[in-house]
Amino acid sequence: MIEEIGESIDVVAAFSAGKISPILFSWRHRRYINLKVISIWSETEGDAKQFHISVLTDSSNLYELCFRTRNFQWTLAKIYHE
Amino acid sequence: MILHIDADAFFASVEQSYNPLLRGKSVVVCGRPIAKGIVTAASYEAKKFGIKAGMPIFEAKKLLPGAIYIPVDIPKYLDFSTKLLKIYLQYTKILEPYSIDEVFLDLTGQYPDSDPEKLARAIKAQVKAELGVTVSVGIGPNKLIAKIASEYQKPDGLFLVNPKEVLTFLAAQPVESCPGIGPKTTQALKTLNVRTFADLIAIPEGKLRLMFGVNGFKLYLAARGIDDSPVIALDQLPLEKSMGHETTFPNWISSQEQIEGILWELSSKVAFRLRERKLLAQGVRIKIKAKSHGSTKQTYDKRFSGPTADDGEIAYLAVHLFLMHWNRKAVKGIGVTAFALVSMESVGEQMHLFPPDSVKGELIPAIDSIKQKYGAGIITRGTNLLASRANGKRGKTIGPGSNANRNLRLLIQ
Repeated sequence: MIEEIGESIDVVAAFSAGKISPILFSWRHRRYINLKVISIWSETEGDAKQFHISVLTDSSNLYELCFRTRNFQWTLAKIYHE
Repeated sequence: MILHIDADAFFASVEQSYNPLLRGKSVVVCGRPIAKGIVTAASYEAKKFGIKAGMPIFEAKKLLPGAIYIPVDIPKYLDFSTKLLKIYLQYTKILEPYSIDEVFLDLTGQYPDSDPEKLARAIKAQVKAELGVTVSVGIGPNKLIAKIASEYQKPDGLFLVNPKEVLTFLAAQPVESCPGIGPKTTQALKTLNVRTFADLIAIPEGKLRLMFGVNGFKLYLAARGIDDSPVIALDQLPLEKSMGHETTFPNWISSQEQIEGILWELSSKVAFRLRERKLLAQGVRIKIKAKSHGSTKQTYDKRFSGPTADDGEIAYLAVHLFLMHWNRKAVKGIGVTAFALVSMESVGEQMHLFPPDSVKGELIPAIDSIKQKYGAGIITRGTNLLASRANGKRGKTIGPGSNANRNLRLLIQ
């Protein structure tokens, strides 16, 4: 089941070799660590970009994080629940 | 040697590629809102249960209530399409996108010592390894044969038709497998007892021309496997002939004010894209999906007195056409297309799109500049706000073909 969230989150990420790798994120007072990046895709927003990064955590849920280069904001876009 | 490459169950495959929790499961990609939408694409796991593109979701849920229903996400698929093209471009620059998930490659003379099937297998393997999806490949002496061949053994198919085998291969193929033959032509051919290419080749050219006009001659050639259209490289693609946006509403709409607002929004999007591409339109066509003994699509068009890329001129004509032909019944969808496009350059320097010292001459370029920086949806006319309300919070308009080609042009620059 896909749940659309669209809420701001705090993220610690590594920017290396031209890629973004979220390391952990915090949402609704809970911290999600041990992230495994599954996929990354992007779309344009005028002359800026939105990166969509799907990560698996310790739970069996898949989280789609969204990073907007225009304002450097992260949001939790969707959660896929098993 | 022409290859046609077609990604299998594309939208559903992209979702499964990006989300390992969906792999091996019945996935159905559908329009929003899901409850009232139609199936856009189904994974092969779902197809086994009879789920097909175009099927209403409520019907799909009767067949397969346990499937995973996912709303369509066009930017995601466009991004994936670009990744596919990057792989194909490693093999040849003579590549022509046919749709978001189909391309033609012309490998003629480029790999004289290579077996075409071996090359096709290499492409398939690279796509699978790097992107996790399968593609089906048809190989033939021309685009027509290559395209029919790619459908032959889906999914994950590979089929080669040598020039000497063309007629034998075509003979048993149903006529509807021919690109350009839709349901109406198929039905018309059935009245002649034509169901396969073997049946079609028996029909004289004159009879086909009588029934189908100039398309009759195309059918005559297709029956013989003849197609001399070249694979046009991306940077050689001619100007678009038309450019449009259309939308399907979450609910039926009867309010003239709301529909006019939506027409303005669609016209603004079309006009912005025309100006981005430095094109002018000589005419406007609208498509209305209205309630009339079921839902039917009607199209109406009219030409301008002079070419234009002005929001207002396009919107006024679109609204005028709509009011002329609307039967006052509820509308489920609407589209605006600018056609007979010409380049601004070709019209000459004498013509200014907007007189430089006019309000429009200052305002429109400023608005376009904001849209280019922040995205097309960042600024809108007041009339377009009605469109937002009518379309619902997540109302979206589509014009994916042009977006795909824009992404592809950026790829090769």
